[in-house]
Amino acid sequence: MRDSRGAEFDEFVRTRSVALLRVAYLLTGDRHAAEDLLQEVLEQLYVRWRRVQSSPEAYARRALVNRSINRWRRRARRPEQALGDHDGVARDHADDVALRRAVVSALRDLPVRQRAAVVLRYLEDLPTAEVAAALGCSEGTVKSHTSRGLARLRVALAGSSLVMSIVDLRSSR
Amino acid sequence: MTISDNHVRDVLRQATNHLSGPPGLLEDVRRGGRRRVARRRVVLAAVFAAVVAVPMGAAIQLTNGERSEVASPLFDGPTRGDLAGDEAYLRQVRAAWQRVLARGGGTQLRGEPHIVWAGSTPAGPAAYLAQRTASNPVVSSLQNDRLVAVAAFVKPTADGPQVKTVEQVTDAGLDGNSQATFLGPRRDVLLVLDTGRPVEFSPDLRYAPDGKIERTFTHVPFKDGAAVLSVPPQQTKITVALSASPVSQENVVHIDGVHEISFASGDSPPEPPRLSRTLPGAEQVWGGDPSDPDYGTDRSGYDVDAGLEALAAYTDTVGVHTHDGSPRLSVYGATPDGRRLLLETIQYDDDPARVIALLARGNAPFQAVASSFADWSAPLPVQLRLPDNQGILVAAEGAALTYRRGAGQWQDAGRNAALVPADSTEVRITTASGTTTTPIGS
Repeated sequence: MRDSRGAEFDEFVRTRSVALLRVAYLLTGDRHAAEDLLQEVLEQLYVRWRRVQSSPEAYARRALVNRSINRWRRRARRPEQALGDHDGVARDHADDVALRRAVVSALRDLPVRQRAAVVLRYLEDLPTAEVAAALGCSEGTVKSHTSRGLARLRVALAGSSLVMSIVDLRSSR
Repeated sequence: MTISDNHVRDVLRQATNHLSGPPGLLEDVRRGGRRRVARRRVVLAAVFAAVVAVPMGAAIQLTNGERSEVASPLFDGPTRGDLAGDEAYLRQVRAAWQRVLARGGGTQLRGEPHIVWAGSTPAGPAAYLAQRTASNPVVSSLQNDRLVAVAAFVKPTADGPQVKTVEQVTDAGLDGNSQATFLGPRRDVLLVLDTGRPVEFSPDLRYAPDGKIERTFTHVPFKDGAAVLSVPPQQTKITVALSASPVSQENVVHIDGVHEISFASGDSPPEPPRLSRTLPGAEQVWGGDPSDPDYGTDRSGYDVDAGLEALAAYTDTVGVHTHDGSPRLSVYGATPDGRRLLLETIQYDDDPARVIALLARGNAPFQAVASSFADWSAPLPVQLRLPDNQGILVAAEGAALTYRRGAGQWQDAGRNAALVPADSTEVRITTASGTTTTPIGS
């Protein structure tokens, strides 16, 4: 049977899935959950491809954020698995793993919308208007979320000697 | 020292640098996406999702796979059936097979064809044969199944034996292949191969007064490798169903040639128009408008389809059906006592459409609570009384609806669909072509 989604959908998945996985990872704090989330969103995108193919990335981003918020609510009372337990740490440098833990832990302490605003604004480098579209709120609300989230994130990361050493290292270059 | 914006960017990127795309993501997404699409097409699911056998002429893509001896039970035994010793007939079958091979198709075969079964039927002599392929390439990237043979039924015609659809056979076995075929000009003979599993057979499909499916299954009596059954003529639609025991969608026994019957014009019918209507008050219990394509994406949402489990009594899970193009209606609402309300329609072949009302409280799954038949030619195609005095669901696409109790005042009920009070006695349907009053609630 011919598939009307064709090569464009395949190309989108091939070229954008890693970037979307990064967002999903920072939103969920868990690689497996991020992969599941990404797959759910891409399946949803597949179903609605004809309607959203003019801006699939914006649609995927919005779905990622909203599904991650819902997922977070559902799992709020369940203990999360420690990040390093199933994350292929053996091949990573120990510092990378520690940094990852610090960042994920700091992000987890943010309210979900602040977390999403920070991730989209600073990982994806999206303009405020696009973050607002992804969060389904006004640009003013995005600025507020970003500002508060960033302030809390700075405090949390400043408490990590590892992050500070990386910052120091980069600053001295 | 403070952390600048650029430092935050660096840290976030470094924390995600280890990520790479999950292996097989695209394939998994496509498979999952197709499942989601299929769930939306409950009616056609049996036709499109269950048939996995691939006709040889359509899709074999042979590669130069390693040749190896891959076992297949097809070649294990001698020819069975009452014509197994009829050399004249067997020669005709082999000749018919050679004619098909001579037409080409690119598949390299080896050895001689093996006639698995040859026997008499009320439609004339019939057979099933198979031949090993020269190589055993992987033909299913998902399961790594390897091609081992091609096989086909042979039907009687006035010009002698004629080979029907040639299918690939893989080392996964015959479950994905046609194991039965209709014979005779009226397709009123069903030949079922004995593959070693008990098989259940249902000759026809009926509906209870409330629209539920009624099928009676009997055990297929195999004898000497096959069973030959008399069935109602399968001319324009398929009423019979076959399933290995226990009867379930996973155990469906595929019948060769069902597409020729279901899609006699040579093409699948266009998707039926999908109508989604949301009643006043629905958004409070659904947490949004389920008719909105983005429902469940912007915020948490419930499933907008009832799902096969809730509709099990109304779904012919082992039958094969198409549709007549009548609308697929979904109505989303809320009952006065605060439950989510969903109405769905199911329609098979040229049978009447059925409407099913389902209710769910909170996060509980939907339960079918009322059902009936729809008549799309009537002024009020849908009227369905809900239990517990929760009202009467009415629908007439494109119409303005009003209702009243006894000789009381007419009350506005909106357009297209409405949940009117349980003690309503009449509904007035106003369209561009006029106004009709229909009694309800009886």
